[in-house]
Amino acid sequence: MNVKPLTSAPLIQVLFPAVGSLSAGLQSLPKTQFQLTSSGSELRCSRIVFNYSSSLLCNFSNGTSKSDVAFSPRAAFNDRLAQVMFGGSVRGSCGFYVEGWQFASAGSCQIRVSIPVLAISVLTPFFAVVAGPAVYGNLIGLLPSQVSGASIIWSSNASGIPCIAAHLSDEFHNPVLMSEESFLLSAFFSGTVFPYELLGGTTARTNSAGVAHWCHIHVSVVSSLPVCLRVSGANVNWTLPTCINVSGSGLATVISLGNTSDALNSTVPVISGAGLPKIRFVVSDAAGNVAYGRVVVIRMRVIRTVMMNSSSMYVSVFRCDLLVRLAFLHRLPDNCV
Amino acid sequence: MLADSEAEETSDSCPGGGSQYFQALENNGEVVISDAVVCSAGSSILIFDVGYIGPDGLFVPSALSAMTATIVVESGKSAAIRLLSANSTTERTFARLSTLVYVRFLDSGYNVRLFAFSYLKQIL
Repeated sequence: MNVKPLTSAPLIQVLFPAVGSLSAGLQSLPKTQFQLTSSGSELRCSRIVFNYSSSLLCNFSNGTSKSDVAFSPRAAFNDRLAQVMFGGSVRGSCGFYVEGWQFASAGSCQIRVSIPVLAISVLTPFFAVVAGPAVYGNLIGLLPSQVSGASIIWSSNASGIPCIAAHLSDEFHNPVLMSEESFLLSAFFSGTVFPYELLGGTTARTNSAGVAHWCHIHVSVVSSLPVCLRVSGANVNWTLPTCINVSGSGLATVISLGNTSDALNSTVPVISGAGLPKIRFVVSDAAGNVAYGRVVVIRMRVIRTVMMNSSSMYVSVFRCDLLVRLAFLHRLPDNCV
Repeated sequence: MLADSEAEETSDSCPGGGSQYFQALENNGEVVISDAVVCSAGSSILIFDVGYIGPDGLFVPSALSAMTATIVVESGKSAAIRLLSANSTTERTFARLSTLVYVRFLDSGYNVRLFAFSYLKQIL
Protein backbone atom coordinates (compact mmCIF):
# COMPACT_ATOMS: atom_id res chain seq x y z
CA MET A 1 0.00 0.00 0.00
CA ASN A 2 1.20 3.40 -0.87
CA VAL A 3 0.85 5.82 2.02
CA LYS A 4 1.22 9.44 1.18
CA PRO A 5 1.92 11.70 4.13
CA LEU A 6 -0.09 14.85 4.58
CA THR A 7 1.81 17.95 3.71
CA SER A 8 -0.09 20.05 6.25
CA ALA A 9 -1.81 19.06 9.52
CA PRO A 10 -5.58 19.05 9.32
CA LEU A 11 -7.75 21.18 11.58
CA ILE A 12 -10.79 20.24 13.60
CA GLN A 13 -13.74 22.43 12.86
CA VAL A 14 -16.44 22.63 15.52
CA LEU A 15 -20.10 22.86 14.64
CA PHE A 16 -21.46 23.92 17.98
CA PRO A 17 -25.19 24.25 18.49
CA ALA A 18 -26.54 27.47 19.91
CA VAL A 19 -27.08 26.54 23.52
CA GLY A 20 -27.81 29.31 25.96
CA SER A 21 -27.25 27.36 29.09
CA LEU A 22 -27.71 23.84 30.30
CA SER A 23 -29.17 22.96 33.68
CA ALA A 24 -27.00 20.65 35.72
CA GLY A 25 -28.53 17.21 35.92
CA LEU A 26 -31.45 18.18 33.73
CA GLN A 27 -30.46 19.22 30.24
CA SER A 28 -28.16 17.25 27.97
CA LEU A 29 -25.57 18.53 25.57
CA PRO A 30 -27.09 18.74 22.09
CA LYS A 31 -25.29 17.17 19.16
CA THR A 32 -21.91 18.84 18.79
CA GLN A 33 -20.10 17.97 15.58
CA PHE A 34 -16.43 17.99 14.78
CA GLN A 35 -15.08 17.89 11.26
CA LEU A 36 -11.53 17.36 10.08
CA THR A 37 -10.54 19.83 7.43
CA SER A 38 -7.39 20.45 5.53
CA SER A 39 -6.21 23.37 3.49
CA GLY A 40 -4.98 20.96 0.82
CA SER A 41 -7.05 18.46 -1.07
CA GLU A 42 -5.07 15.42 0.05
CA LEU A 43 -7.42 14.53 2.99
CA ARG A 44 -9.22 11.36 1.92
CA CYS A 45 -11.95 10.96 4.46
CA SER A 46 -13.11 7.59 3.16
CA ARG A 47 -9.79 6.06 4.02
CA ILE A 48 -9.07 7.77 7.29
CA VAL A 49 -8.94 6.01 10.68
CA PHE A 50 -8.31 7.76 13.99
CA ASN A 51 -9.19 7.81 17.68
CA TYR A 52 -10.30 10.88 19.54
CA SER A 53 -10.69 11.80 23.19
CA SER A 54 -12.80 14.50 24.78
CA SER A 55 -12.89 16.13 28.17
CA LEU A 56 -14.55 18.98 29.98
CA LEU A 57 -12.96 22.06 31.48
CA CYS A 58 -14.78 24.78 33.37
CA ASN A 59 -14.37 28.16 35.02
CA PHE A 60 -16.36 28.46 38.22
CA SER A 61 -18.08 31.44 39.78
CA ASN A 62 -15.61 31.44 42.69
CA GLY A 63 -12.83 32.31 40.24
CA THR A 64 -11.27 28.87 40.02
CA SER A 65 -10.82 26.76 36.91
CA LYS A 66 -10.57 23.04 36.49
CA SER A 67 -9.83 20.70 33.61
CA ASP A 68 -11.06 17.15 33.65
CA VAL A 69 -14.37 18.06 35.21
CA ALA A 70 -16.62 15.06 35.73
CA PHE A 71 -19.57 14.56 33.41
CA SER A 72 -21.87 11.77 32.42
CA PRO A 73 -21.56 11.05 28.68
CA ARG A 74 -24.63 8.97 28.02
CA ALA A 75 -27.10 9.03 30.88
CA ALA A 76 -28.47 11.09 33.68
CA PHE A 77 -25.63 12.24 35.86
CA ASN A 78 -24.69 9.75 38.50
CA ASP A 79 -21.56 9.81 40.62
CA ARG A 80 -20.82 6.18 39.79
CA LEU A 81 -21.16 6.73 36.05
CA ALA A 82 -19.37 10.04 35.97
CA GLN A 83 -16.10 10.22 34.10
CA VAL A 84 -13.59 12.84 33.08
CA MET A 85 -12.69 11.50 29.65
CA PHE A 86 -14.70 10.19 26.77
CA GLY A 87 -13.21 8.71 23.63
CA GLY A 88 -14.14 7.06 20.41
CA SER A 89 -12.81 5.61 17.19
CA VAL A 90 -13.66 6.94 13.73
CA ARG A 91 -13.21 4.99 10.53
CA GLY A 92 -13.83 6.16 6.99
CA SER A 93 -15.11 9.61 7.94
CA CYS A 94 -13.76 13.03 8.76
CA GLY A 95 -16.69 13.86 11.01
CA PHE A 96 -17.75 12.71 14.43
CA TYR A 97 -19.86 14.11 17.20
CA VAL A 98 -20.63 13.98 20.90
CA GLU A 99 -24.04 14.47 22.44
CA GLY A 100 -26.16 13.67 25.44
CA TRP A 101 -23.58 14.64 28.02
CA GLN A 102 -24.98 15.65 31.38
CA PHE A 103 -23.18 17.90 33.78
CA ALA A 104 -23.02 18.30 37.52
CA SER A 105 -20.82 21.33 38.05
CA ALA A 106 -22.18 24.79 37.28
CA GLY A 107 -19.76 27.05 35.47
CA SER A 108 -18.63 28.35 32.14
CA CYS A 109 -17.37 25.30 30.31
CA GLN A 110 -15.74 24.07 27.12
CA ILE A 111 -15.19 20.65 25.62
CA ARG A 112 -11.69 19.82 24.50
CA VAL A 113 -11.38 17.25 21.70
CA SER A 114 -8.01 15.77 20.84
CA ILE A 115 -6.85 13.44 18.07
CA PRO A 116 -3.55 12.09 19.37
CA VAL A 117 -2.41 10.48 16.15
CA LEU A 118 -2.63 13.81 14.38
CA ALA A 119 -1.44 15.74 17.42
CA ILE A 120 -4.29 18.21 17.09
CA SER A 121 -6.98 19.39 19.45
CA VAL A 122 -9.75 21.93 19.57
CA LEU A 123 -11.89 23.69 22.16
CA THR A 124 -15.54 24.34 21.70
CA PRO A 125 -16.91 27.79 22.46
CA PHE A 126 -17.88 28.37 26.08
CA PHE A 127 -21.29 27.27 27.18
CA ALA A 128 -22.91 27.77 30.54
CA VAL A 129 -23.87 25.03 32.92
CA VAL A 130 -26.27 26.47 35.46
CA ALA A 131 -27.57 25.00 38.66
CA GLY A 132 -30.64 22.86 38.47
CA PRO A 133 -33.67 23.42 40.65
CA ALA A 134 -33.12 24.00 44.34
CA VAL A 135 -33.18 20.83 46.37
CA TYR A 136 -31.16 21.61 49.49
CA GLY A 137 -31.16 24.48 51.95
CA ASN A 138 -28.58 25.61 54.42
CA LEU A 139 -29.51 28.20 57.03
CA ILE A 140 -27.22 31.18 57.44
CA GLY A 141 -26.93 32.10 61.11
CA LEU A 142 -29.14 30.83 63.87
CA LEU A 143 -32.82 31.13 64.63
CA PRO A 144 -34.00 31.98 68.14
CA SER A 145 -35.43 29.10 70.13
CA GLN A 146 -37.93 31.27 71.99
CA VAL A 147 -39.72 34.49 71.14
CA SER A 148 -42.87 36.28 72.22
CA GLY A 149 -45.97 36.59 70.08
CA ALA A 150 -45.80 38.77 66.96
CA SER A 151 -42.03 39.05 67.36
CA ILE A 152 -39.71 39.30 64.43
CA ILE A 153 -37.55 36.26 63.77
CA TRP A 154 -34.32 36.35 61.84
CA SER A 155 -31.11 34.44 61.41
CA SER A 156 -28.97 37.07 59.75
CA ASN A 157 -28.97 40.85 59.65
CA ALA A 158 -25.78 41.16 57.64
CA SER A 159 -27.49 43.52 55.21
CA GLY A 160 -28.84 45.64 58.04
CA ILE A 161 -32.26 44.09 57.63
CA PRO A 162 -33.35 41.24 59.88
CA CYS A 163 -33.96 38.28 57.60
CA ILE A 164 -34.10 34.53 57.63
CA ALA A 165 -31.34 33.75 55.14
CA ALA A 166 -30.46 30.45 53.52
CA HIS A 167 -28.22 29.13 50.81
CA LEU A 168 -30.24 27.11 48.33
CA SER A 169 -28.49 24.57 46.14
CA ASP A 170 -29.35 21.98 43.55
CA GLU A 171 -28.84 18.24 43.87
CA PHE A 172 -25.15 18.63 43.04
CA HIS A 173 -24.76 21.39 45.64
CA ASN A 174 -24.37 24.10 43.07
CA PRO A 175 -25.74 27.37 44.48
CA VAL A 176 -28.99 28.31 42.79
CA LEU A 177 -28.24 31.82 41.55
CA MET A 178 -30.87 34.41 40.67
CA SER A 179 -33.67 31.93 40.72
CA GLU A 180 -36.78 32.56 38.70
CA GLU A 181 -38.64 30.40 41.13
CA SER A 182 -39.96 31.89 44.36
CA PHE A 183 -39.53 29.89 47.52
CA LEU A 184 -42.20 29.91 50.17
CA LEU A 185 -41.36 30.15 53.85
CA SER A 186 -44.12 28.61 55.91
CA ALA A 187 -44.57 27.30 59.42
CA PHE A 188 -46.35 24.47 61.11
CA PHE A 189 -46.94 23.26 64.63
CA SER A 190 -44.25 20.78 65.57
CA GLY A 191 -45.34 17.18 65.24
CA THR A 192 -48.46 18.09 63.28
CA VAL A 193 -49.42 19.03 59.78
CA PHE A 194 -51.36 22.07 60.95
CA PRO A 195 -50.08 25.33 59.51
CA TYR A 196 -49.03 28.24 61.68
CA GLU A 197 -49.39 31.76 60.35
CA LEU A 198 -46.30 33.81 59.67
CA LEU A 199 -46.55 37.55 59.11
CA GLY A 200 -44.39 39.33 56.54
CA GLY A 201 -42.99 38.59 53.11
CA THR A 202 -42.94 34.82 52.96
CA THR A 203 -41.71 34.41 49.39
CA ALA A 204 -38.18 35.01 48.20
CA ARG A 205 -35.88 34.33 45.28
CA THR A 206 -32.18 33.66 45.48
CA ASN A 207 -29.72 36.43 44.75
CA SER A 208 -26.48 36.33 42.77
CA ALA A 209 -24.83 34.50 45.66
CA GLY A 210 -27.50 31.83 45.81
CA VAL A 211 -28.97 33.18 49.03
CA ALA A 212 -32.68 33.68 49.64
CA HIS A 213 -33.76 36.27 52.21
CA TRP A 214 -37.14 36.29 53.90
CA CYS A 215 -37.15 39.60 55.70
CA HIS A 216 -39.27 41.14 58.43
CA ILE A 217 -40.87 37.82 59.23
CA HIS A 218 -42.96 37.78 62.39
CA VAL A 219 -44.47 34.90 64.26
CA SER A 220 -48.14 35.33 65.04
CA VAL A 221 -50.10 33.81 67.90
CA VAL A 222 -48.77 32.34 71.11
CA SER A 223 -48.59 28.55 70.92
CA SER A 224 -48.14 25.72 73.36
CA LEU A 225 -46.43 23.67 70.65
CA PRO A 226 -43.10 24.66 69.10
CA VAL A 227 -43.37 26.21 65.68
CA CYS A 228 -41.19 24.82 62.91
CA LEU A 229 -40.30 26.52 59.64
CA ARG A 230 -40.17 25.06 56.19
CA VAL A 231 -38.94 26.27 52.81
CA SER A 232 -40.75 24.82 49.86
CA GLY A 233 -40.49 25.06 46.10
CA ALA A 234 -40.99 22.86 43.09
CA ASN A 235 -38.20 20.48 44.13
CA VAL A 236 -37.40 21.52 47.66
CA ASN A 237 -39.19 20.81 50.90
CA TRP A 238 -36.70 21.70 53.57
CA THR A 239 -37.49 21.95 57.28
CA LEU A 240 -35.23 24.41 59.02
CA PRO A 241 -33.12 23.03 61.86
CA THR A 242 -34.64 25.02 64.74
CA CYS A 243 -38.22 25.04 65.97
CA ILE A 244 -39.32 28.08 67.94
CA ASN A 245 -41.34 28.38 71.13
CA VAL A 246 -43.76 31.29 70.86
CA SER A 247 -44.80 32.25 74.37
CA GLY A 248 -46.19 35.42 75.89
CA SER A 249 -47.61 38.40 74.07
CA GLY A 250 -45.28 40.63 72.13
CA LEU A 251 -44.87 44.36 72.01
CA ALA A 252 -48.21 46.04 72.58
CA THR A 253 -49.10 47.90 69.41
CA VAL A 254 -52.79 47.38 68.79
CA ILE A 255 -55.78 48.58 70.74
CA SER A 256 -59.39 47.68 70.25
CA LEU A 257 -62.51 48.87 71.94
CA GLY A 258 -63.72 46.83 74.89
CA ASN A 259 -67.25 45.62 75.25
CA THR A 260 -68.62 48.48 77.26
CA SER A 261 -67.12 51.31 75.28
CA ASP A 262 -69.68 53.29 73.37
CA ALA A 263 -68.34 56.75 73.98
CA LEU A 264 -66.37 56.82 70.76
CA ASN A 265 -69.32 55.69 68.72
CA SER A 266 -71.70 58.14 70.30
CA THR A 267 -73.05 61.08 68.34
CA VAL A 268 -73.74 63.00 71.54
CA PRO A 269 -71.33 65.92 71.83
CA VAL A 270 -68.84 65.97 74.66
CA ILE A 271 -69.01 68.92 77.03
CA SER A 272 -65.84 70.97 77.18
CA GLY A 273 -63.86 70.65 80.39
CA ALA A 274 -65.92 67.74 81.64
CA GLY A 275 -64.53 64.22 81.70
CA LEU A 276 -65.10 61.97 78.71
CA PRO A 277 -67.34 58.98 79.29
CA LYS A 278 -65.32 55.87 80.18
CA ILE A 279 -63.62 54.14 77.28
CA ARG A 280 -62.41 50.59 77.74
CA PHE A 281 -59.56 49.41 75.55
CA VAL A 282 -58.06 45.98 75.09
CA VAL A 283 -54.37 46.13 74.22
CA SER A 284 -52.68 43.42 72.21
CA ASP A 285 -49.63 42.80 70.07
CA ALA A 286 -49.68 42.94 66.28
CA ALA A 287 -50.90 39.34 66.08
CA GLY A 288 -53.81 39.87 68.44
CA ASN A 289 -52.28 38.31 71.56
CA VAL A 290 -53.79 40.22 74.50
CA ALA A 291 -51.06 41.93 76.50
CA TYR A 292 -51.50 39.96 79.71
CA GLY A 293 -48.86 40.59 82.32
CA ARG A 294 -47.45 43.59 80.54
CA VAL A 295 -47.40 47.11 81.90
CA VAL A 296 -49.08 49.01 79.15
CA VAL A 297 -49.74 52.73 78.98
CA ILE A 298 -52.05 54.55 76.60
CA ARG A 299 -51.42 58.19 75.87
CA MET A 300 -54.38 60.25 74.70
CA ARG A 301 -53.74 63.37 72.68
CA VAL A 302 -56.38 65.81 71.50
CA ILE A 303 -56.02 67.58 68.19
CA ARG A 304 -58.50 70.36 67.51
CA THR A 305 -59.50 70.28 63.87
CA VAL A 306 -62.44 72.69 63.63
CA MET A 307 -63.14 75.48 66.09
CA MET A 308 -66.70 76.30 66.92
CA ASN A 309 -67.94 79.19 64.82
CA SER A 310 -67.31 82.51 66.56
CA SER A 311 -70.77 83.71 65.60
CA SER A 312 -71.97 81.75 68.57
CA MET A 313 -70.35 84.32 70.81
CA TYR A 314 -72.53 87.07 72.20
CA VAL A 315 -71.65 90.69 72.65
CA SER A 316 -73.28 92.83 75.30
CA VAL A 317 -72.65 96.13 76.98
CA PHE A 318 -72.51 96.14 80.74
CA ARG A 319 -72.56 98.88 83.17
CA CYS A 320 -69.10 99.51 84.48
CA ASP A 321 -69.95 99.08 88.13
CA LEU A 322 -71.33 95.60 87.39
CA LEU A 323 -68.17 94.63 85.57
CA VAL A 324 -66.05 95.48 88.55
CA ARG A 325 -68.14 93.21 90.71
CA LEU A 326 -68.03 90.42 88.22
CA ALA A 327 -64.25 90.48 88.13
CA PHE A 328 -64.11 89.25 91.71
CA LEU A 329 -66.45 86.35 91.27
CA HIS A 330 -64.88 82.92 90.94
CA ARG A 331 -67.90 81.40 89.29
CA LEU A 332 -70.71 83.13 87.48
CA PRO A 333 -74.28 82.18 88.20
CA ASP A 334 -75.95 80.13 85.47
CA ASN A 335 -78.28 82.94 84.50
CA CYS A 336 -75.27 85.04 83.65
CA VAL A 337 -75.00 83.32 80.30
CA MET B 1 -47.36 67.16 61.56
CA LEU B 2 -50.40 69.29 62.14
CA ALA B 3 -52.19 71.29 59.50
CA ASP B 4 -52.38 75.05 59.96
CA SER B 5 -55.94 74.83 61.17
CA GLU B 6 -55.08 72.12 63.68
CA ALA B 7 -53.69 72.53 67.15
CA GLU B 8 -52.86 70.05 69.85
CA GLU B 9 -54.35 70.75 73.23
CA THR B 10 -51.87 71.18 76.03
CA SER B 11 -52.30 71.41 79.77
CA ASP B 12 -51.77 75.15 79.37
CA SER B 13 -54.53 75.59 76.85
CA CYS B 14 -56.80 73.07 78.55
CA PRO B 15 -56.80 72.74 82.35
CA GLY B 16 -56.49 69.07 83.23
CA GLY B 17 -56.17 68.24 79.54
CA GLY B 18 -53.35 67.94 77.03
CA SER B 19 -51.56 64.59 76.79
CA GLN B 20 -53.14 62.27 79.31
CA TYR B 21 -51.80 58.86 80.34
CA PHE B 22 -53.71 55.77 81.38
CA GLN B 23 -52.22 52.52 82.61
CA ALA B 24 -53.54 48.99 82.69
CA LEU B 25 -54.25 48.54 86.38
CA GLU B 26 -54.30 44.77 86.54
CA ASN B 27 -51.88 44.05 83.70
CA ASN B 28 -54.66 42.14 82.02
CA GLY B 29 -54.40 44.00 78.78
CA GLU B 30 -57.36 46.23 79.58
CA VAL B 31 -56.92 49.97 79.89
CA VAL B 32 -59.78 52.20 80.96
CA ILE B 33 -59.82 55.81 79.85
CA SER B 34 -61.76 57.70 82.48
CA ASP B 35 -62.15 61.37 83.35
CA ALA B 36 -60.20 62.36 80.27
CA VAL B 37 -60.63 66.06 79.59
CA VAL B 38 -61.10 67.79 76.26
CA CYS B 39 -61.50 71.50 75.96
CA SER B 40 -61.68 73.11 72.54
CA ALA B 41 -65.23 73.54 71.37
CA GLY B 42 -65.73 72.23 67.88
CA SER B 43 -64.44 69.11 66.23
CA SER B 44 -61.40 67.32 67.61
CA ILE B 45 -59.53 64.10 67.00
CA LEU B 46 -58.62 61.89 69.90
CA ILE B 47 -55.37 60.05 69.22
CA PHE B 48 -54.43 57.05 71.30
CA ASP B 49 -50.79 55.96 71.39
CA VAL B 50 -49.68 52.71 72.98
CA GLY B 51 -46.43 52.33 74.85
CA TYR B 52 -44.83 52.00 78.22
CA ILE B 53 -43.00 54.14 80.73
CA GLY B 54 -39.26 53.96 80.23
CA PRO B 55 -36.59 53.85 82.95
CA ASP B 56 -36.33 57.62 82.79
CA GLY B 57 -40.02 57.95 83.54
CA LEU B 58 -40.91 59.12 80.06
CA PHE B 59 -43.53 57.58 77.82
CA VAL B 60 -41.99 55.35 75.15
CA PRO B 61 -44.44 54.73 72.32
CA SER B 62 -44.62 51.32 70.73
CA ALA B 63 -47.41 52.35 68.35
CA LEU B 64 -48.32 55.90 67.51
CA SER B 65 -51.93 56.58 66.55
CA ALA B 66 -52.97 53.04 67.36
CA MET B 67 -56.52 54.34 67.32
CA THR B 68 -58.13 57.67 66.50
CA ALA B 69 -61.64 58.97 66.97
CA THR B 70 -63.36 62.17 65.99
CA ILE B 71 -65.49 63.87 68.60
CA VAL B 72 -67.60 67.01 68.74
CA VAL B 73 -67.07 69.18 71.78
CA GLU B 74 -69.67 71.69 72.96
CA SER B 75 -69.00 74.65 75.17
CA GLY B 76 -69.95 74.14 78.78
CA LYS B 77 -71.44 76.55 81.26
CA SER B 78 -69.54 79.65 82.12
CA ALA B 79 -67.07 78.91 84.84
CA ALA B 80 -64.67 81.84 84.85
CA ILE B 81 -64.22 85.34 83.57
CA ARG B 82 -61.19 87.10 82.24
CA LEU B 83 -60.69 90.87 82.17
CA LEU B 84 -58.84 92.30 79.23
CA SER B 85 -58.02 95.80 78.14
CA ALA B 86 -57.83 96.95 74.57
CA ASN B 87 -54.42 98.46 74.99
CA SER B 88 -51.94 98.91 77.78
CA THR B 89 -52.12 102.38 79.19
CA THR B 90 -51.13 103.81 82.48
CA GLU B 91 -54.21 104.79 84.41
CA ARG B 92 -54.38 107.09 87.36
CA THR B 93 -56.22 106.22 90.52
CA PHE B 94 -59.58 107.82 91.04
CA ALA B 95 -59.49 109.13 87.49
CA ARG B 96 -61.59 108.31 84.48
CA LEU B 97 -60.24 105.28 82.55
CA SER B 98 -58.97 105.94 79.07
CA THR B 99 -58.98 102.35 77.81
CA LEU B 100 -61.70 99.98 76.80
CA VAL B 101 -62.07 96.99 79.13
CA TYR B 102 -63.33 93.62 77.97
CA VAL B 103 -64.74 90.78 80.00
CA ARG B 104 -64.67 87.25 78.65
CA PHE B 105 -66.91 84.62 80.16
CA LEU B 106 -65.21 81.27 79.79
CA ASP B 107 -66.34 77.72 80.32
CA SER B 108 -64.08 75.29 82.18
CA GLY B 109 -62.37 74.43 78.89
CA TYR B 110 -61.49 78.09 78.31
CA ASN B 111 -63.96 78.47 75.48
CA VAL B 112 -65.47 81.93 75.27
CA ARG B 113 -69.14 81.81 76.20
CA LEU B 114 -69.90 85.48 76.39
CA PHE B 115 -68.12 88.66 75.54
CA ALA B 116 -68.71 92.06 77.09
CA PHE B 117 -66.98 95.38 77.07
CA SER B 118 -67.35 98.81 78.58
CA TYR B 119 -65.39 101.76 79.82
CA LEU B 120 -64.83 101.72 83.52
CA LYS B 121 -65.43 105.01 85.07
CA GLN B 122 -62.52 104.88 87.46
CA ILE B 123 -60.02 102.72 89.28
CA LEU B 124 -61.24 102.18 92.82
